[in-house]
Amino acid sequence: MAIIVKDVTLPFSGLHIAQWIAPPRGAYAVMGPNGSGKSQWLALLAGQLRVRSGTVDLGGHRVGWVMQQPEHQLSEESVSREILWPFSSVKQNEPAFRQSLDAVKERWGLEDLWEHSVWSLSTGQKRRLVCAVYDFLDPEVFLLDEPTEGLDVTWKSRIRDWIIARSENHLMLIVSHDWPWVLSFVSQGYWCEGVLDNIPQDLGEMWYAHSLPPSSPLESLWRTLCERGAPVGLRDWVDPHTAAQQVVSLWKTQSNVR
Amino acid sequence: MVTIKIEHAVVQYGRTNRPALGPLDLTIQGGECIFISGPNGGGKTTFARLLAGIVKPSSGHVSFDTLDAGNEWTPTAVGWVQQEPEHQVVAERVEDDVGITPQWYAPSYPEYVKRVEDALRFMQLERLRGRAVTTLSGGELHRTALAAIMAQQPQVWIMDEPEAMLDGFGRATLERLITHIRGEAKTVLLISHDPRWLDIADRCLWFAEGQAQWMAHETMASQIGGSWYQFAEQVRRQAPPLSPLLENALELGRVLWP
Repeated sequence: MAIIVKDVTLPFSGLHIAQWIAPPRGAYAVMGPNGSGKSQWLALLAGQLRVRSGTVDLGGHRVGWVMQQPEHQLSEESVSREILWPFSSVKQNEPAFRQSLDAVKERWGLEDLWEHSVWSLSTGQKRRLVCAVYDFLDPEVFLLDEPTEGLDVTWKSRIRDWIIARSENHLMLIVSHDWPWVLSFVSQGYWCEGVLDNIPQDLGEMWYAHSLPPSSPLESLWRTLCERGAPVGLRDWVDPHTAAQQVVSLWKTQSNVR
Repeated sequence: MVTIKIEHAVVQYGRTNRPALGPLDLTIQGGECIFISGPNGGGKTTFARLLAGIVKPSSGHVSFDTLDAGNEWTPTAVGWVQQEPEHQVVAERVEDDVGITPQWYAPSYPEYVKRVEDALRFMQLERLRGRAVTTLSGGELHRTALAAIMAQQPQVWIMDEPEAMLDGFGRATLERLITHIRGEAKTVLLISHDPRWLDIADRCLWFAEGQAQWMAHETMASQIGGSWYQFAEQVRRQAPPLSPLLENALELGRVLWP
C-alpha cells in the first residue's frame, strides 16, 4: 500500500497537492522557496498536520520525521535514554540488539556523548542524535528536513552516505536549500511552489530552472555555460575537480578553433 | 568602532573535564569581518555566547574597548543572530518582534517606527508583518530574527549559520544586509560551514576542541571544501592563460563558449 495524498491544500503556504502517490523507495529532494510548504508537507506525511479537505492515506507505513528544529524532538535526559526509551520492553542484552545499537552509535558518532545530557549538545550533535533515533527505529519512510543544517563537512558527507545506503529499500524525502550537496547524490526531486507535481523531476534540470540567484562563482559560471549551450553536464559544477576538467577541455577546444 | 579583546578567557559548562572554550586570546578590531568555522562541537557557538554576554568566562577577561563584557556593555552593543531563530523570536507577530529592542532603546517614537519599517523592508517581510510568528516557515523565521537584530542596530553582529534555511533570494538579501552593515563600519562575525563567506571575510578563525587559531583563506577553503578555491587552483595549474578570467565568472563563461 503506497502513501497517497489527494486534493490537499496546506494552510498559509497554500501548497496544493492534487494527487501524490509515494514512490516505493529511493532518495528524493524536496526543494522550493522559503514558506512554500515543504516542511508542512513533511508534517502532513508524518500525520502531524490536519487538513480541512482532501485525504491523506499513510497506508500503514511507519514514518520517521527528523524535524528542522531537532530540539522539538528531544524529551529525555541523556543521549542513551533518548535512543533506548522506545525499546524498554525489548531484551537489550541480546547480541543482535547490542550489535545494531553499537552500529548506530558508531555511525552517528555518539560513543563519547552517550551519557551526556541532550541539552549540553551543540545543534549539529542534536541533529545527529535525532537521525540516530530514527535510524535505530528503522521506519519504512524517512522525512529529513534540512538534515545538513549545522553539520560540518565531514558529517555532511557521512549523512549523504547513510542516505544513499538507506534509500535502496526505504523512501527518503529530503528538504534542503543546499543545492551542491543535494545534487551530488540525489537525481530526482519535487519542486514546491504553489503546486506539488505528481511525478518527480530531474534534479539537474530543476536546479537550472529554479536555483536563482547563483550562490557561488562556480554556480554562476555553470549557469552561464548552460545558457550558452556549452556541452557541460547540468550538475558537473557540484564537484570542483570535475568542473575544472570540463573547463580545461572547453578551453582546449576553443584554442584549437582559433 | 570598537575593539574586542579576549584575554585568556575560559568557558566551562557544568562539571566536565574539558572546558568548552579556551583558554582563548584574541583581538578583533572594530569594523573587521571575521569568518568563523570548525568541526561540530568545537566551541563556535560558545564563543558567540561569550561575546553576547550569555555565558561568563570562568576565568580570564573579555572586554569591548574599555568596557567589561557582560557587565557594562549596553544592550545594543552586540546583536546575536542565533543558529535556531525560534530561540530569539519571542513576540506574537512579526512586526512586534522586530520592534522589541527599538521600542526600549530608540531615542524617540518616530525613530522607533523608522527602525522597524526599515528592517521589515530590507528583509522583505512587509507581506508577513502581521503574521503570527508561530505560523512562519523556518526561513521566514530566520529573516524575522535578522530584521530584529537590524532594528537593534548593534555595534557588533554575530551571525550563527545565517544562511541556513534561506532560499536563493533569502541568501541574496542576507548578502546585501552584510554589505550594508559593513558599510556602516560595524564588526561582523560570521559562524558557518559555508565557503561563500570566504570572499567577504577579512580574516578567518578556526575553532576545534575549544581552541581558536587564525587561518589563511586558502587553508580555510581546503578545510571546509571551498569549491571555487579548489576549482580555481586546478584551472590555474592546467590552463594558466585562464587565470586572469577567474575573477569574473560571466566573462570566463563567454570566453569558454562564445
